[in-house]
Amino acid sequence: MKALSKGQHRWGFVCGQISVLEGRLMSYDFFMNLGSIEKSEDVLHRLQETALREFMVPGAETWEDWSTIIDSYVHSQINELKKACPSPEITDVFLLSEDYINLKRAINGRNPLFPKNVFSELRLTEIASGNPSLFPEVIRPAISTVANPAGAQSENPIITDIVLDGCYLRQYLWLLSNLDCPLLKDWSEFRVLTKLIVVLWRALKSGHNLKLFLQYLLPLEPFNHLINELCATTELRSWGNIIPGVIGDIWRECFELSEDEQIPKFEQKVSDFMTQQVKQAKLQTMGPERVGAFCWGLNMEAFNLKLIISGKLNGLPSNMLKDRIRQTYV
Amino acid sequence: MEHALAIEIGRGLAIAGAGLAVGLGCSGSGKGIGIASQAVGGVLSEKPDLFGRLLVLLALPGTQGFYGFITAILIFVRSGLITGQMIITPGTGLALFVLGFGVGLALYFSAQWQGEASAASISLVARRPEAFGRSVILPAMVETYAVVALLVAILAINWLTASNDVTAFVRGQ
Repeated sequence: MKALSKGQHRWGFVCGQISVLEGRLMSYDFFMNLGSIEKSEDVLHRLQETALREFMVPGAETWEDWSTIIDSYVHSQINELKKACPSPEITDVFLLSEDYINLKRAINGRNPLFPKNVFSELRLTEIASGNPSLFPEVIRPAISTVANPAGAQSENPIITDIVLDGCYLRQYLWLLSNLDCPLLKDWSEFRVLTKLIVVLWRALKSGHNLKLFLQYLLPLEPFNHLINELCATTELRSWGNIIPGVIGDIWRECFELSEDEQIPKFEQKVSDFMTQQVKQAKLQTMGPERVGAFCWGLNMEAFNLKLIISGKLNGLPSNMLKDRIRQTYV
Repeated sequence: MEHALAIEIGRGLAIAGAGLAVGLGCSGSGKGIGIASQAVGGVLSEKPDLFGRLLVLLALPGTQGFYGFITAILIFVRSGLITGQMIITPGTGLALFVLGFGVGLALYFSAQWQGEASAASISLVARRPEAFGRSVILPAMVETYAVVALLVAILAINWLTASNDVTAFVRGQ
């Protein structure tokens, strides 16, 4: 167990809010029960008894409607916490994925999809016209390679995706390195390592050239050496000897599953492991770890909600859904 | 040592001790309440109906300030400051100074830790309002040691200032 930071009294207000909000999170048993319900109408009816009710709108029927409802449920809570946080970095990491979707759309000359957070309207406008100067130093050089709308590279969607993935992970690590919390630092490294493995694993399975990742994903300290090794090893089984620690153990376990199951199970098991890791933050009265852990819990809740709603709308069997439900924070 | 100067030193030390007791006690209480009020503010922003229960938890670290106040008043009364007759020897004055400082320290740290304990209890009540009764016990346990410090202060001040030597010293015998 990593030590939790102490004497963080300035986090008292936001942690007080979280004490109340934690009571509104949905439990693992609730999701298992939800997964057992046969009719999608009954599932949606049960959701009216939860905190999601405030965000539900009449006439929501399609997957897109529900996805938007769940996204705004998560976004509004994290954004509220951000206003009360002494250091917004901890909440920013959980809003960052939305920012990168907005950024990618801006690079492709499209309007933002999500509310702006780390990347303001001005930054997105500037990047759309090929100017990356308003972006943080940690990602600016990489962004500039895809920022030019007239450039050859920006016309290659794979390269744009790799560059943006690299920027996202780099900024993720950078944001959390600003907070002096061993638990969150370890946790963020687990998260980034998992993302990296999944990105490279998917690319290898799709037959992409991994050298592109070496060129456009790096630098990504402290994983540069690992990425180099993974990219140089096209024999997937050998990855088990390269990936370190608990994540390596999980990878080896999942590699023995059927090919379709490998990546989803790997993501699920790592996410369950990380949820288990951050649960110790519940013991903290005040501190950034508590905020980070709650935001992660909220993300897991959103994942489970999306899984069940999309499964029920598409008529997937209950057993399959229940098998994929992730561990929850409460 | 000249008689008047000795009394002056004794008096100064006793008053300094009283000042430390009340100063440290009140600072600790302020800090403790500040810690707890951060948590209360956050909880009330989501659940305003919990105000009544949380007020009790918020007020608990405030008692140390009053204990410091009682200690200081007792020193003032028993040393004759209020009645106008100062009967403090340098030895007694020093003892009262150390006593006030010790009590002040106990009050300062216990108030601060009680603030932390209150904040934890506030989190508990926010999650499970029905656990309010049990949650009050946690910071109240910290209170025990502030009460012990106050009791020692009351007894010690009474014993120190009831000494025959002091009266004899004042009489100049």
